[in-house]
Amino acid sequence: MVDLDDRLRALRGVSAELARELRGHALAVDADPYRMEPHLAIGAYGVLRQTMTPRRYTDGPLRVGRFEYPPGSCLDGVVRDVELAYGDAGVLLACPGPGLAGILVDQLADDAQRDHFYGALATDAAWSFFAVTEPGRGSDASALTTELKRETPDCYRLRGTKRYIGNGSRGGIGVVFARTGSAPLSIRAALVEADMPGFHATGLDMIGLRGACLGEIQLDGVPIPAGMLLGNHLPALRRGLWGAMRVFNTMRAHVAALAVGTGLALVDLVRAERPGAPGIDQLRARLLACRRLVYTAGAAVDRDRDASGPPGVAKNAANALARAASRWAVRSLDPAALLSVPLLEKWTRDVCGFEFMEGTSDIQRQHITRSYLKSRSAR
Amino acid sequence: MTPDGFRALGRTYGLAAGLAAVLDGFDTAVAAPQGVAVLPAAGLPHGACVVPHPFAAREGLAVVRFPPQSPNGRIGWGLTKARAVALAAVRLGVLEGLLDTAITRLAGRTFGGVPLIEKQLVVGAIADVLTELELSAAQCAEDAPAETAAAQHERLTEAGWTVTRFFGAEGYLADHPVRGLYLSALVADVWVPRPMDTYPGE
Repeated sequence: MVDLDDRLRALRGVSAELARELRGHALAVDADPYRMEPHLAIGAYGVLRQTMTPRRYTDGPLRVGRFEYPPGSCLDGVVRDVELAYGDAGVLLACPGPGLAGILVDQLADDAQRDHFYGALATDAAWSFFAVTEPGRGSDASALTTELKRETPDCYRLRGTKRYIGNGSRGGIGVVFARTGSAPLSIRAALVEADMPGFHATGLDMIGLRGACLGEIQLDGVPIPAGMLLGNHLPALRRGLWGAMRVFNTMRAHVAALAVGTGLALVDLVRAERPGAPGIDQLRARLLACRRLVYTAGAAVDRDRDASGPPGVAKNAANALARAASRWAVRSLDPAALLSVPLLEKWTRDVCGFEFMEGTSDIQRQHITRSYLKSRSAR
Repeated sequence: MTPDGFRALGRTYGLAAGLAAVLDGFDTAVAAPQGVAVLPAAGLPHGACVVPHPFAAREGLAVVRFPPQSPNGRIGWGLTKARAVALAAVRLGVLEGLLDTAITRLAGRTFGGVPLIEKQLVVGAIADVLTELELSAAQCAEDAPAETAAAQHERLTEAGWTVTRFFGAEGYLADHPVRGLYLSALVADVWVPRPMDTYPGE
């Protein structure tokens, strides 16, 4: 288990302060997530970009007092995100910047590709996408059918459809996974720009977490210069899905952080409306225990990016707790609270979204058990 | 209309039609808990002020607030007794219809070459939903005490969540029929009186 040191407590403190401002934008982003101009100056967005962008593309790492927070730490990220999600997870997910694609680019890209990717995200209003999922195939990434076909020595063509992609219809640049052949190792990731011919994206109307702006991307012969394929300098085993799986391990810890933050926000929402509501101490204690699991998952991923067990445990626990918190909150307040406290109705929708992000609870169950069995047989 | 009739209505015509039947002849402006209601969007009563909701209108519903009748505001007891049972039956029908859609989807999709409908976790979850449906239908016929309605509706909400998850990420899209399950929960949360609850665990 992880106990936060002074450095991480300072990060938690500054994130908690930023969350207050972030919450003030929650209802507006939920109502119209594509109208982001009024929200781009949110202080938390600056911190998110600073802590998710490599040093060479920023003015330097985030500093709080005597402490520094260089990008790349999953533990730093989940400590930050629990607090920001306490403000509002939907606004957090609407943040422009490198996002999931950045995590993969940091792992698989060469210097020229990194320059290209981060250069395209150098403004305050530039989003990126990370396109793995396809219609009808969901979590089965190995079954993807999007085709990356070599046309000339210098150019490929991308054909297929990606769906449920965060910022899919507003991202200017991102990563798309596709097949160069039928073998498992023929899945590759390419840097793709939305203004290329043959790239068509549409938004999907979401139930909650609407700031995530899921979209569908149709790729109709999009030209991809050979230099935009990620991982050319890496062994074949480390070019394709291996990278995606490592990104998912990182992101599961982050989703768990969002769920815990939202659960804690629901507890305090009820406390404000009905101090001493039955069950409040019990639920808060469970959420704080879950926050500790999330920190542990972040530290485990920092030690080993292939670790799938701890993020799976944290995500499943946090996901179930956040939804339980929303049901408890609804039952603890009178019906009018669903309108008079609009965040209650919104968060009741939002908590359902964590189930579907980076693998459903059934998928996590498999990760948890496999990870346990692997460690058991190694004992 | 019998509970079976309400159930068939919910299954065949959906939540808005079922809710309209449940509220037929009811003074919603008086009964709305503290002046808040979810109503069929067609033919809203005079004075109902529509509150924005991201997808209620897609399902033919409106979230509304009635102006206060007195300085003390409104009380409004919501749906009790037979109407709470009727709403449960409508929700059962909506749930059944979407379970049917979900099963078609699960049968047509594979993971690792195996149809999802054959996965043990999925088989078990479908069985749990079917059991809950039967139990809830029996409760509708049982003339159970009024104060048990809230617990019955909460069980339906949980069964609805299980069915929602059968749709995968589609289950989080507002333009998919699954939105009926989110709104079914909202309708019950607004209309069915409940004891102030404790935290029962997740």
